[in-house]
Amino acid sequence: MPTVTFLPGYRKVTVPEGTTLLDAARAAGLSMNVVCGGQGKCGKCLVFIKEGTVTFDREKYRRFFSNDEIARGACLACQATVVGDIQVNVPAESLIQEQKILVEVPGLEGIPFNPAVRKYEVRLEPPSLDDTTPDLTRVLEGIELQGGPPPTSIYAPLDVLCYLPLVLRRSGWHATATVALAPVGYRLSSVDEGNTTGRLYGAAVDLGTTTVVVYLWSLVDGRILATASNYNRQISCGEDILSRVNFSRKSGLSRLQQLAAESINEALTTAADAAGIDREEIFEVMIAGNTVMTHLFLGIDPAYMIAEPYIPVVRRMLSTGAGQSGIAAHKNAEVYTFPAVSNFIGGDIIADILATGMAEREEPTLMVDIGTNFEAVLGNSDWMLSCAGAAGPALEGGEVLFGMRANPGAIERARIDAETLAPTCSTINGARPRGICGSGLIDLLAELFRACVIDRTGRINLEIGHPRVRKGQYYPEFVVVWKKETSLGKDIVITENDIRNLIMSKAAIHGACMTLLDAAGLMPGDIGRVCFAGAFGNYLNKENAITIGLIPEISLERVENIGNGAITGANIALLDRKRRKELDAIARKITYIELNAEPSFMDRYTSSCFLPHTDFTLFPHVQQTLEACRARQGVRSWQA
Amino acid sequence: MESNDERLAIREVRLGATRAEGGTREVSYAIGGERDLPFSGKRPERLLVALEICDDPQFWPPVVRDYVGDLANDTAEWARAAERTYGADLVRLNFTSTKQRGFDAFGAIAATTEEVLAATARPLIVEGSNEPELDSEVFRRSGEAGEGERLLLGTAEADRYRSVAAAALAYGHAVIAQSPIDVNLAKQLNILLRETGVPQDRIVIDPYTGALGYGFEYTYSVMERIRLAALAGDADLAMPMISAPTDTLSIREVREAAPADREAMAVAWEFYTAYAAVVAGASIVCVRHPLTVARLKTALEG
Repeated sequence: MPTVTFLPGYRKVTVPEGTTLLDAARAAGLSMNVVCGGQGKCGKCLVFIKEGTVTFDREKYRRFFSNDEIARGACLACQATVVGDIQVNVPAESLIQEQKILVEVPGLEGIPFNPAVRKYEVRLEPPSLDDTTPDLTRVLEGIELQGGPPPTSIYAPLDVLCYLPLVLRRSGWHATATVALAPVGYRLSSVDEGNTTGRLYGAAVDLGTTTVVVYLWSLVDGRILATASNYNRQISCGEDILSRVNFSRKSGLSRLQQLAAESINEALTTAADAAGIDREEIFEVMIAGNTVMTHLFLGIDPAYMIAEPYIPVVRRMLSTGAGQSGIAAHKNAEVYTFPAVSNFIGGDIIADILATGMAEREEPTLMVDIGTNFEAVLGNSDWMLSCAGAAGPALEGGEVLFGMRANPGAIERARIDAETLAPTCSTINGARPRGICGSGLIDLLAELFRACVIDRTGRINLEIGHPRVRKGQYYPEFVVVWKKETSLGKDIVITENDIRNLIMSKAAIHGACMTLLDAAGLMPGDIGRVCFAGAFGNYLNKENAITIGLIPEISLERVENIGNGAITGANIALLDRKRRKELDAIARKITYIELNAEPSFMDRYTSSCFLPHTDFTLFPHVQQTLEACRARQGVRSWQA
Repeated sequence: MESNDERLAIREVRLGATRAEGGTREVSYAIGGERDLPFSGKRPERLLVALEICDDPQFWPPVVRDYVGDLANDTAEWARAAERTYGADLVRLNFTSTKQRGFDAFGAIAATTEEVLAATARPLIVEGSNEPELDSEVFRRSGEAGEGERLLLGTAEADRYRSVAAAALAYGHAVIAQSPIDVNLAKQLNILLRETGVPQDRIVIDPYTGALGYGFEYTYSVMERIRLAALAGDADLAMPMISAPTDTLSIREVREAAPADREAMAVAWEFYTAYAAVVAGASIVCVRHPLTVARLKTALEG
């Protein structure tokens, strides 16, 4: 079997002939950047063949490479297959790098502290012939004396009973009992020697398709101890949900379950180490994930969700033991997963709702979570409507020539001088630019529009006659950063095709928002506030988002970025058992609108495939601002 | 349903220019001005039938070539016959010659435009190249040759509207704005044209259509929606409509008809499709078979 050597790290792997370089890289432990899931669509897994040959149709994927790259043996790892021994050069850009994952969450201060797990220090009378009360009863009575629940309501699992006599006797009848409020009563999770009441921890987890975020809390006093995040290791089995489900169908379910648990454990360990605590003292874990992620984490087959009639196995909140689900916490720790509404509106969205507090307010809130897909929820304390759809990968950098995730070197903010068309860009970590991430793309779209470089359909006006506006190899393009200022050795451009993809993405989201508003009989002006959730939303320029018509026009001060609502929601549910109890009720209250079955959606989508929208009356303020821009540009006003 | 509110009327677009108006046409037409749905109030004053001809018959439907015979090889004579013999209200000149590989005979575009304008006294519609690379030169030459005649230039589409708009603006012509059977896309294109500077009373909407039985019902409902939106006050859709059911002559029923029936089948199909477009609100219908013109005139005037 041929040996593949990956440079610059000299990682070697032996694989059968016909293996793709992507699979070989995975086998070698490299995480390649495959936004499209390895279908040859995104061009992000660029590698260079240094020695040896591969089978690869270079002409077919010519559009992804510059001439210089071709000369250096460029190919796509996902499409090139191994023929014999080779050496492959993997540029840093083709590897998944540390991402700007959202861990700063505003509004943590206000969460009421009312945990579902408590520790009780018990000092017990040793048994004697006069007092033959069994060990367990003795402990349970001790708990009650400390203000805990009555003995009859506490369930004691077998494993605790097995070590209980030893612990009690070794400690001289001075122990600490951990009691958790489980969905069906109380549970004696652990009994430890001596006084351990100062050490009781809980973890909130956002199990995302791409990233996992963990917040570690002290459940003694409700202090946050540490946060950590890392990639979801399932990425190696496919970037998007659909490819994960497909992987699971090819008997990969247990592998995905294991990877999900490992990803959480990795973050949990990092956080625990940072906080200097023992993971064994984590007694509760609250996991918010989308419906498929939740199914995969629990080892439940998600296959029926991706084919008609798209049915999840379970929607309600579930709890398992940490031991059972492979979470690196105390083995009797309760691991909760958030309830879901449908296959598309999952626990992460319920967590978003919790984070926005919209279920407690009278004024309607529109919450939009933009990630790999988008979900939108409109409602208040009485009613809620939701929908979900594919926004396309453009807002996350997929199907955009220089699109990338929010990694170092990604242009995250941009302005374009209306006079000179010179862009001012800032990148993540201030690194030399090597691509553009979602928030940067939205800024560019809005700025190009204001500067009249593109028309309302996003077509670039080549007649401008500016060196940055040029024909491009396949599409007209605008040069965002000249070659010499990048870390890529080529000009970073945004093409007309990129812009079209972005417009389609924003149109899907806006169309969904309008569908919800219409179903509720509301106008954009009736919305009390718009909340952006998701990592993407946090870095988004609100004004630009409205300028391009990503969301309905509403005054800027009523737009909030709630950031990673999934983790905020998980935090709230971890710390406040009352709010946790409401989750199932919130989930049941939400009416799901299937956009594919909504005849008006296509119409709304098409009318939103325009900047900002075909119906200007929906964007009066944007329209005014644009007129001012146009007037400055000397372009004839459209009020002709 | 009748409304007296000036804002809620379809804009009038004037096509062709008489001597008094600075051109050389014997007649000019004002289309538009409706205030209600077609045939729901008073009849539109004028429904126009255009006969479409071309400058290179190799790209023209055989059923028309067979009928017009040698005329097909003389664009000017064909145009003259369109008006005098067949009774068309307008001539639509389609520059099919631009479909030839490597076309660069731009001089001929101007010459043909002038010849056709000389051969007919009716207003002229010009259909450009359908080739973005050639468009701007074709429209410039033809537009320049027809300066002052208020031609109707076609076709602007969302991804190639600048060159048509530029020619229309430079030489004072009107524009056909065609979008693929969608009310939103129709509106978007009109906005794009407006923002390029084309006045709204120089835009005619072509909602595009397939043949009757081949999706015409979509066109019908889109035309209805365009008109309803306009009458409800949407200025960006308040333009008269043109319909050119050119696909009708190449559908299977015509191609595979027995030779003896082919002409009758072609004319019938073109007639019914065009007539349906009129019912849906088109102010101008463009057809290619001369016999269809006569039939439409009879039906519309009868």
